[in-house]
Amino acid sequence: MNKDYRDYRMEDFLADEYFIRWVKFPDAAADAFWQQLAADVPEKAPLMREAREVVYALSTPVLEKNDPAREKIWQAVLDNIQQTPARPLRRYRRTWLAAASVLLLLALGATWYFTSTIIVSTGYGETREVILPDHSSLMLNAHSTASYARSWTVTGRREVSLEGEAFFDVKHTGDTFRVQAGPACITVLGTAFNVRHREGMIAVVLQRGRVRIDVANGEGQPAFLQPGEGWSYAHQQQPVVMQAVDTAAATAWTRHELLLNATKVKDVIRLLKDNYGYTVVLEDSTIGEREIKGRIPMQREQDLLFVLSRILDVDIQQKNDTLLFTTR
Amino acid sequence: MQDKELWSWYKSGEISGLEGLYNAYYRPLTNYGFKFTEDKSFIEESIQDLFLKLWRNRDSIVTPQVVKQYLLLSFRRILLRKLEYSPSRLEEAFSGEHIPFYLELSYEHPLIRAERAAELKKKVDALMDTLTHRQREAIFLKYYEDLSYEEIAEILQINTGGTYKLVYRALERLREQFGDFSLLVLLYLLQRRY
Repeated sequence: MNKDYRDYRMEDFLADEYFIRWVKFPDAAADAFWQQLAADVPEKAPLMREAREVVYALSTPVLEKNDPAREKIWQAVLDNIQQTPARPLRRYRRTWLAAASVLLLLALGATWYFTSTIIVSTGYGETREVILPDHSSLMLNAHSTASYARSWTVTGRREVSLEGEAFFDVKHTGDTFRVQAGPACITVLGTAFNVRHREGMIAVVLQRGRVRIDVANGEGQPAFLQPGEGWSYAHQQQPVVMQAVDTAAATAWTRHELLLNATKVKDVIRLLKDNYGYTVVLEDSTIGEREIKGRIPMQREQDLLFVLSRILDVDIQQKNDTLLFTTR
Repeated sequence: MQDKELWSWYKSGEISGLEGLYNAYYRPLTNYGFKFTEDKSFIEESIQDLFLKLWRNRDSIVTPQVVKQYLLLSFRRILLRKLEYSPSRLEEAFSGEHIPFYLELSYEHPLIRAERAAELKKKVDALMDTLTHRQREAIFLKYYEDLSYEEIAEILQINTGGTYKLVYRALERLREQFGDFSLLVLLYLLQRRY
């Protein structure tokens, strides 16, 4: 890069390909480059900050019109293609030796099959949808792990262990479906519910159907939830059942958004830690007590940071895993 | 799934590869199409034609450098032909200004009162009106679809330098009209996405 950034105006930053890429898809090298530039040419730093916001603004809010029928058009394409002939399956000749080794492999495979576990994990800022062997679906939130026995398809035992947060949409098959979240065991037939299991705290919000929750070694009766009810438990405390929980807010993450209903900033900060791995340092601790209301897009973590900095009128500086909020 | 992978799958005659491309690009293509016309049927037909053509010509189509740009370019060509912006007129009118392109920004937000939203929309529509059709299309392809200047140049049938200038002038225009871009930044805060 031999450009003279000293002469850069707003448009120059905005039209700079490398700058745009950095804003939209930041990586370590670009971070280093632009931070160095802001340090070398401090008088351009505010301009760069503003240019960054304008790139976001130009990149995202494009109005989409009502959707034509996706399925219908694809069907029309298929109909026109007119059934391409299926490829014949290839056949292999097998010798006896091959057959014997196949048997051995089968025996080994079976042992492995019945003892191993399928583990699905998400990193910070990542969500993933998993279709379970019974066609129930599981949407895994950021920094979470779900696991189940590989032999599920054969044994039909519907059991998932969860660390982190997930939304379950369970198919009604007549058999029970279990979610193990630490000491809590949630038993359902066919329902949709959200489970959050982080740092010893377990919270369940039921959207549809009926669930039963037992706590291992816990005293007292199991809890039964109705749709719209929530349940939470912290280590060695009495579980609490809450009525009229905002299920839309509890499951907003599955739609890549955050619904805030007079939510304290410190709760949003906890979410930054849980889902993105950031430690937040507040220059002014009273910020944490302020309340935010509204809907925040969460396609990318920059969305959240950007909106927070605007609503709270703070500068957010990032150093590795730490975010420093300073009042403007 | 990666574009390249889907593409090679499709090239080898796997219909699921084509379906993967369809699912990945259905939304970007319809969204792009609506900037040219409000008429849904033109867009639906063009998408259908595009994928049918891809399938029929899969043995002769050369694997493009950037799948997304190739699909946007082919889709644009099919759609504009349907809308009867004929190629000859295209060449003669180098600026391509007769091809309308409407970029409307989203401004809804639950926290903003309806009258405030309407006022904001008026201002932003005026802001977008100060740009030419071409500038709007270049801005859309640059920031929304993340294409490079070279890739946009090929779509708009002008050279790379011309594309850069087009974007640059558009940005200059916006700054002249609205000084510090604050209106656009405000819009970013207000938009809702799903």
